[in-house]
Amino acid sequence: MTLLMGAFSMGIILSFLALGVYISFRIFNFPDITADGSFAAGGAVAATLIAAGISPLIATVAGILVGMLAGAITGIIHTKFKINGLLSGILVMTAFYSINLHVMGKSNIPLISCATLTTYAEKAASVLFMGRETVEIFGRECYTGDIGVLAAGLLFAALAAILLYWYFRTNLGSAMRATGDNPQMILALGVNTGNMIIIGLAISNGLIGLSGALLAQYQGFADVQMGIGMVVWGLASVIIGEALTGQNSGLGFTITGAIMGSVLFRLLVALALRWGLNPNDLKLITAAFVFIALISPELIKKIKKRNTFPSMSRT
Amino acid sequence: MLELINIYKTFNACSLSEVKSLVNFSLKINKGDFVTVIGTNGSGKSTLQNIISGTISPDSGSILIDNANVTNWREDKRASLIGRVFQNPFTGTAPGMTIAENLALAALRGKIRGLRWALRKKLVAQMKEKLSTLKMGIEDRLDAPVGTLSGGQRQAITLLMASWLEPKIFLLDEHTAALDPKSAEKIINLTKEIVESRKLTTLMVTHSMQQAANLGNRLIMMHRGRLVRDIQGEERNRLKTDDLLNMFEELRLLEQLDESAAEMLQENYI
Ligand SMILES: Nc1ncnc2c1ncn2[C@@H]1O[C@H](COP(=O)(O)OP(=O)(O)OP(=O)(O)O)[C@@H](O)[C@H]1O
Ligand SMILES: [Mg+2]
Repeated sequence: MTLLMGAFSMGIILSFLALGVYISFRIFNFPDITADGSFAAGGAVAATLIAAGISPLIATVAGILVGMLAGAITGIIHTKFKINGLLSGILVMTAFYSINLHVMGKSNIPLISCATLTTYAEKAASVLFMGRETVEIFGRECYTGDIGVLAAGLLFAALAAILLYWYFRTNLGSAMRATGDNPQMILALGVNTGNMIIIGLAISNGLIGLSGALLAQYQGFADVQMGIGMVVWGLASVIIGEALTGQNSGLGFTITGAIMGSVLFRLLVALALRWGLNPNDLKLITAAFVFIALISPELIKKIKKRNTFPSMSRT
Repeated sequence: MLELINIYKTFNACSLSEVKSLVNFSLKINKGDFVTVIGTNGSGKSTLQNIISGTISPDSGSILIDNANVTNWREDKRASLIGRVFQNPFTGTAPGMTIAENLALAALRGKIRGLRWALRKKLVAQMKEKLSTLKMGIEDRLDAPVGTLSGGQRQAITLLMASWLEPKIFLLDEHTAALDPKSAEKIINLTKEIVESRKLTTLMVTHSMQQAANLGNRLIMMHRGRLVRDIQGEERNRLKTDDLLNMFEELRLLEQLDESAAEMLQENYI
């Protein structure tokens, strides 16, 4: 049960990453790999501030802001200096590796015995459960602290989902979606598409920075390498979410799908690890999964075509 | 009112693939004029529209809309003055967004977009009303993604979008060319209705001699980036499809004459 709860909480924390990746990859059609840098930056900044005794709430907000900064820089490099989107992300991601190291002063910051949002949630839960350490759920023992963390995570994720849904249905938000859907059209309707991309990437990477800040607090340390492979991880979550809700379903569904995908993916990973998957192979398997998910629609189409016109291939 | 003064535009200058798309091009269109534009392929008609809209900037010359010099305005700023419909039905709408959302985007053309809910009730009611005048049955499908519509339906919506807020200049670039004849006719009738009822200042590029002869109060013909014919007033009213075909034939003969002359020169001097 602890394993399940842990995987669930982790999935919720990483769902902010999935939401960020959803915004850049799906809404803007922009292959933004700044995420690897902004995720670690969020964790690094939050952990450094918390270790320095600053309130974890402020530290988390700082993690969001630094993520937004990273995203905005990528957007500016891409739109104002006309550098390829992928390359813009790589530049910022690489630069942030050094920046993160400078912020942290070393490659790893432990947060043991610091007050974090996680310890807040655990305390709140212990108050709610009147001081009990464990409760029974479905006949199994659960730590109340774990429940508190999970509940807080769910609450935050739901809040983020609602905010995003609302935002993307405002006039400004729809202009952003149109920028990803048909830039030529929205330009002709008077929208500065460059600015939309800059703001959009800032929002996306703000969420990713938040994810990194929360993860650092949850696992009790920040590591300068914690961002590696996070884009692919987020993409895998988004793809699973789309499989759950359908790729062309409404905005509300796809946003919820990204969160569910993140949780499901983390659960699958936890199970796989339990069954003896070597943790070192995790990134390889994630990449392979995303690769297969990306090519399978085309493959299925081809196979279908072959089946519908069997005579044509023979003549 | 639109005024183009001595516009030059050359693509790939000083290379083998150099193309002079507009050469010393000047044109003045009065408020409320409905101008049809004809010309052979590559004569610069689309370039002309892109120069007006700010999609591309001229090498030299100026563009005035309502006496304001907009030559240095970026495309998104100029959009407040211009409504556009393109040849490709896929260009004018966002396929992944709903019909209502597309129209709501157009209802704020050139305006500041804030954090208000995009699909306000009043606006949606207006959409229903305007869509029902199309008689295409799309007023009941406001929440369907535009990508699920036919080319003709998309072009009709693009027309509504481009004219939702009254544009100072209405630019249409072969907007029926990609449609089947029946849809094309519908779109042309709709165009006529919109332009005439609201007296929009319009520049419509077409390859259909019938459209060119039947629509508008002025006709211009372009060739190799230049204005070669400008027919208005009484002369325009008498114009028939055959006259237009003759104009193209004349051009062709001239062209041949040019070529044979060039050949003769080559034979004699090289
Ligand atoms: N972006 C561009 N880069 C290079 N050449 C261009 C570009 N746009 C247009 N041209 C060239 O400029 C010339 C005029 O093109 P334009 O599209 O304006 O012609 P058109 O009159 O609209 O033709 P059509 O009837 O085929 O639409 C063509 O020779 C074209 O190849
Ligand atoms: Mg053209």
